[in-house]
Amino acid sequence: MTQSLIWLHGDALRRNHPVFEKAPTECDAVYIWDNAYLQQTLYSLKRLIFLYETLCELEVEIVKSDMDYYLQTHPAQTIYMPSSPDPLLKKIAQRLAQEKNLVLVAEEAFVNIELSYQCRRFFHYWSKAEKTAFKHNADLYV
Amino acid sequence: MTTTLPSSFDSREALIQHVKDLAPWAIGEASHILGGREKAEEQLQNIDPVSYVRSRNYGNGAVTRLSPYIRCGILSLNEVRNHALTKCSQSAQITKFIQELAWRDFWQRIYKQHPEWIWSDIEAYKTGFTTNDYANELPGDIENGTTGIACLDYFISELISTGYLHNHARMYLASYIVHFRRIKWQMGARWFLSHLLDSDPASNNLSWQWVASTFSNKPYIFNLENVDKYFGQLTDTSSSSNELLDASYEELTARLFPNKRGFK
Repeated sequence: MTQSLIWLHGDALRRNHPVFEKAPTECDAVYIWDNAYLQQTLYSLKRLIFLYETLCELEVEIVKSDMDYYLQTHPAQTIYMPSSPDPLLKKIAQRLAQEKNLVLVAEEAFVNIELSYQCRRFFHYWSKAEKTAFKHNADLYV
Repeated sequence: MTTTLPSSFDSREALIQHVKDLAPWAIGEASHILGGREKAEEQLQNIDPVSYVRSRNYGNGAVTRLSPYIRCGILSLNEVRNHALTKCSQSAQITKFIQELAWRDFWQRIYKQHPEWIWSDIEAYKTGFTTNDYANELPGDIENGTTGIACLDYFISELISTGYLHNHARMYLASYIVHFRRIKWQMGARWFLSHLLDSDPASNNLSWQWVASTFSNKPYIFNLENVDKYFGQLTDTSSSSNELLDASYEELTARLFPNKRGFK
């Protein structure tokens, strides 16, 4: 029985996302085509086509389902999910975390600034960001 | 109920029909812009960040068109930055390019920290008007690109058919909707979210708020002279076809923000 699953979503559609490194090698990856969710994103047809084309090339399983239902009833006990600020995905993730072991995996950092840093205007952020913004891998990864 | 969906098609037309069947509620048609990592990598190889710095404000400038791929995480900001660094002799040559990537990182951080800001006015409008002075609907002439202002109708047509717009054109449209037509920025933001392949609630909505002045110190406005300078080779910027925009900034400020005094 599959113990783990990678749950991909529209913010993280590439094979070299850190979620694939974090999850076990044999772990399946799935994208859940959830019409109710997609309607809430307001996407027009061209955006959905762009998304689907990307999924085809990604070589992951694409299923049409309700995200909550699919993830809750999937036999995997550990779900690996790329982090997302999307409130709709976060709500699903919160519900999922009550039932299963949910592992959130962050995107590669662009700059080396602590996530808790509160910024309101861009040039305040930039005064901190520019120290590592010009560095390969932001001087963070080998 | 769960159904496994196909991931291989005989043609792009077959894939498009499949998506139409899957999402009959979705409006519009396909764009010529292709999804997928392969196309993203091809475009990444072709970027010219040094030329970008010089020409990015022009409609025919060396913009990368990577944004739809970055939006979906098909490329990471880190990957794009790392590649850009290999295309210059000194990193200072591509400061503006790196800053544009940083803008996306900045918007995403705000989205994570303040998701409640995405659809609400972060600050009051600095236009002499209150939120209630702005309309709650996007009129059909804007949605259909029949405003009668030639350059704006051209940009709207591009938006609807391709799902991509030059950043400058986005700002013109946003400014026209919020300040010339006095419509709530949220109405325009929803419209852009629907059509722009690269649009996400953070960069899209917060940029609309920047134009509107609910997340900046003053409203962004533009005039025909500016459109002509940057897009004159791409669209009709004649005065007769764009009368509403043909004014100085002083005239426009007085016309658009009559309640404000000492406004520049």
